[in-house]
Amino acid sequence: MKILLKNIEEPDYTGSIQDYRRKGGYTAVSKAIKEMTPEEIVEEVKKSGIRGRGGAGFPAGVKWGFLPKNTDKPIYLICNADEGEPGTFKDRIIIEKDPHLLLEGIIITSYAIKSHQAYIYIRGEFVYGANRLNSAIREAAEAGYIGKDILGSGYNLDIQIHRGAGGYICGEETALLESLEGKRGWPRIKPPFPAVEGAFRCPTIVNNVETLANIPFIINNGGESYAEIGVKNSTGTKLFCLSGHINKPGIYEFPLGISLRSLIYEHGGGIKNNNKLKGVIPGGSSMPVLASDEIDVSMDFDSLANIGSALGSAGVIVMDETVDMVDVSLNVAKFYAHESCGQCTPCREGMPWMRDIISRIKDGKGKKEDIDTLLDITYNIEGKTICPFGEAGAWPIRAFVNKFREDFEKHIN
Amino acid sequence: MPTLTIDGKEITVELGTTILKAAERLGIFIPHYCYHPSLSVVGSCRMCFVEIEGSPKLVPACSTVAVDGMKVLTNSENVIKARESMLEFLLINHPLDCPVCDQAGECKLQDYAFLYGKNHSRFNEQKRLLPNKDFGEHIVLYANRCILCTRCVRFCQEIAGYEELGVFLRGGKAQIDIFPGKTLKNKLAGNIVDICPVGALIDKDFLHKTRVWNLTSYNSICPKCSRGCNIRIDVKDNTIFRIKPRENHEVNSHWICDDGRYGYHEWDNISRIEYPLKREGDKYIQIGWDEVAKLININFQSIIKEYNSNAVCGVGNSSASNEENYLLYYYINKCFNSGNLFLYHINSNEYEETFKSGFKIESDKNPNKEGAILNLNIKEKDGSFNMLLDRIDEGEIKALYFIHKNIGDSLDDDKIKILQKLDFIVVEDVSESNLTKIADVVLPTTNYAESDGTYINSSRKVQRFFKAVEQPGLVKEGWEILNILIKKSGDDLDVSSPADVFNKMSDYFEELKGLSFYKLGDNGINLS
Repeated sequence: MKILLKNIEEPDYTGSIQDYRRKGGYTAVSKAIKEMTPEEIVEEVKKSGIRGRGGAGFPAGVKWGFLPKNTDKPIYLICNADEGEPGTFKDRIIIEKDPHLLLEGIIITSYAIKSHQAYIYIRGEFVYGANRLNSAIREAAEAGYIGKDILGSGYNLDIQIHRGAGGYICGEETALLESLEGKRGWPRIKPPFPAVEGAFRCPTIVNNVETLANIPFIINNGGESYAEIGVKNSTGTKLFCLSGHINKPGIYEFPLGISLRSLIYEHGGGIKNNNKLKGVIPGGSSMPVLASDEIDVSMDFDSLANIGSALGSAGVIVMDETVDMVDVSLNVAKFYAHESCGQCTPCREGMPWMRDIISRIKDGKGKKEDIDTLLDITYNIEGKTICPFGEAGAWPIRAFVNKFREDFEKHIN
Repeated sequence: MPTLTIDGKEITVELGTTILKAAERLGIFIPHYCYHPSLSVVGSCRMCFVEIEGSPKLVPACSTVAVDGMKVLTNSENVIKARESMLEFLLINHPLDCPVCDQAGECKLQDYAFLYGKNHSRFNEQKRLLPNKDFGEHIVLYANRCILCTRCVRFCQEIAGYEELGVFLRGGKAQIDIFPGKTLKNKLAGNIVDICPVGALIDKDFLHKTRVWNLTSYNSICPKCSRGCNIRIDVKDNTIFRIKPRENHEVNSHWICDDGRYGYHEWDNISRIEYPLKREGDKYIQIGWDEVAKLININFQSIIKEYNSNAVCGVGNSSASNEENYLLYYYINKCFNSGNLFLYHINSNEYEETFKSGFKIESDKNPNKEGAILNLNIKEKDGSFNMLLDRIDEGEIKALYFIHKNIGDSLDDDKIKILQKLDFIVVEDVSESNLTKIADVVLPTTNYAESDGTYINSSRKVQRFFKAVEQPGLVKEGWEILNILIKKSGDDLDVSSPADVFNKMSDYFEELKGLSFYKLGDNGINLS
């Protein structure tokens, strides 16, 4: 069952508007704008049960429902294309290889939430992606899908690309809004939430690329059809990014609920060199690592949460027995120390501190107390920050220490 | 209107009130750094966590809105642990500078570390090191001490309206700095040192001069313009070490401008007149207060006998207190029956500015024009200095008593020439000036910091100020000088302090009815 890779997997598919239309593209936007009301579209998306694909997993239809019903302010749609989570490269594939799928999703969503201005906030490093999207927007505008009086309906929509400048934190929706407004990418305190006060203090919906790319299917086939795919509470398909010590790294689309073991061994071709699995990160570096005896878990939001980890962005990073988890922890800690925005005390001070302790441990200068200090720091950061970046940096370190303590102790003795 | 309980105490507040503000009203203090009542809420220091019963996650009190039925705990075990952790985070990179840091004794980091800090640090890494940053004339940033509360950045943006400071770089490297090539030019810049909770922003004017616990503070009113900002004069060994603002929400909020903050230095090298002086030929000789009082009264009486009562006049001053001006009025009007009172005020550079928050530096550089006009009992046009000069020119006025407390020569030569036509000139002054050089008698008087008194500001608020330093030599307080003269003239006025004088003023003037020095309190009273 392919929703997102349907076009991309076809050899010779170029992603041009002609190819896209040939494969049935832009029928959903026609149906949505000409035959449905915005409220009906929101209903379908609610029925589909689709949860945000950016990492937080919040039900998209419910989020759209938070918009004020009567407002004088313009409503904005932001497509979050900041894809910064280490181990994640799924949004990129849609942007680069099937941009019109994303655009169609954006147009339908904008219409549903009564927005006339959409922004695609794309990470600065995706130079090719931004150019690709700009060409696609031009193509779509020429064909009458973007701009004034779309398909003769009277509905106007403008889509603008806004490029980021290299901050992971700008993937956090309120930091993204600050950056979009030309300010430092410092997350805002919530409430107010973006649906009430977002871009330029106006009601705003921020959705991930993959989430929006699912919308055309939901319109064409109905929310209930979508809900039949996957498992309860985690409906639809997901793009899984397999990387690491795996024989067949890449992007795989499967219904949610596939087992991690099956993903690694059946579809990913197993571990390189037939080595033993040591650990696997299931959802991008912000999510707690799983030990080799934890991979009989269903890849869906709730099942992973129940075992103390998370689906996140589904960046599946596979690590074999040759890996020293202290190395991995240091790599992760360095990333979060580098990307911390610096606004609040626990993260600004705590992330570099954790990095320095792990670095010292790796260099053989660690002391016994350091491991417990490290754990204590993660508890002092968690729940105390302005945005979830705190948890994103603290949880992985805690999991590495808890599940692979021997690796740390080895350096200390 | 939600009703909530904080530590068991119930309070009802307006919709939208934060837990921190509600707690403040109950007298419950919640530690914080980045929150400031006059600045936007950022919730970034994470020091103000409180616990809400039934909620697993602690919330920052400064940015969490009170909800009906909320039960807040500000001192639970979880809250204390959170404060300890935030403090530990702040202290890992903070240098142990207390022995050399000016903030010691009034430092929020010290205060909270005392309550919530650990004796022993478990930080074994390298502290990050940053160079000091010079922000210009008055302020230097000891960047190592900065805890990134961003109060200074927000102050410049929101209160002063000058975007001169910013946060640069990211994460652990984030630091506050001034934009490249710029210096802090806004006239409210000194306030960022006040609001910096630690010793990061340092006033070069105060750097390493003394420990704050050696200072004694006196409430006063800034004399540098008619705004009348409420200040505190900090003194050690009878010397002013610094001026700080006092809070007054109807006048200056929490702020003072740099003219007021650093203006006390204009007295640094002024050579004060320390004794009463009498002219004899070309020279001035010292005489005692008793003798000089007799001398003045005799001279005034003889001029009145020769001409008439109105030949004698008094010149009050917009820089002098209400009490001084009133006693001058009393002296001239009641003791000598003269109706001639005039007002002198400096018209200086007229620099005025209204800042983004509404804080205003007034163009009138006199602290008490409103009060002088009231207490000299003149209408502004009638009592103008130019009118005085005309009357002297016309020969109507033969003698004058001039309260001139301003530094240096404030009258140009042609005005001095006219004054020289007088038969007898008495000048109260602080230092030598072209006025004292033509006077027959010079009476040394006190400046703004050397006596109690009251001013009326440009919004007609009466505010009181207290004596902060002892005057030098045999100088007498301004009100006391006139009190001696009045008594020596045979009048039975009975006052022994500026507060007493104020009571006489409130008996006499309808506008001041019912008021007293005591009743003015720390924030003054508005006249109708």
